[in-house]
Amino acid sequence: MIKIQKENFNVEREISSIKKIHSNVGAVTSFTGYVRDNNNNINVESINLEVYEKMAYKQFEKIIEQAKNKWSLIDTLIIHRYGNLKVNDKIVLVASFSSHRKDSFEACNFIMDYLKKDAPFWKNEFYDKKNEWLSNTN
Amino acid sequence: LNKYRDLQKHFDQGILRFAVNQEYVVENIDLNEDDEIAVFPPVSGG
Repeated sequence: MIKIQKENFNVEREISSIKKIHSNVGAVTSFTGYVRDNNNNINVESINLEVYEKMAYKQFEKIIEQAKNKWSLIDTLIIHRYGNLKVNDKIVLVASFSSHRKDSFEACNFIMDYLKKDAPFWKNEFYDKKNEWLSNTN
Repeated sequence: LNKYRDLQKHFDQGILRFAVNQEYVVENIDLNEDDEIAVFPPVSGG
């Protein structure tokens, strides 16, 4: 499942809503990304995340297909937020569901690596008195 | 670039990425009339 949204999400609820469909799932690996208060030693107050939504959906679908070809996955979840986000807000959730842990660990890592490198999102960080667009940070 | 002069300085930095119909392109390709073209700076999602 892919969701690109402004709204916050509840990690436990999102994961269990998928888990309960599949009784053959024995392993779930999830990654949650947050807005942190410091980047390159500058205090961050908030960020504004912009997205090229049409491309993001298409690319997320593609990366999930790639992950499913590489590992034995039962389901996957990507939630990526956009808009104004404050320190401590959640930005992203990736979860991979499989029978055994190795597939879910590796697939989750693979999807997150892709997100950092190629997902069409842009972070504009707001500091005390100025703001700055970030480039790829990996 | 003749039409959008401001793009030149970004183009010279070699950091721009290009997408046609929501897929990254790294080489010259033939475009069709209804293709959706995107030019954008380094991404920073996740």
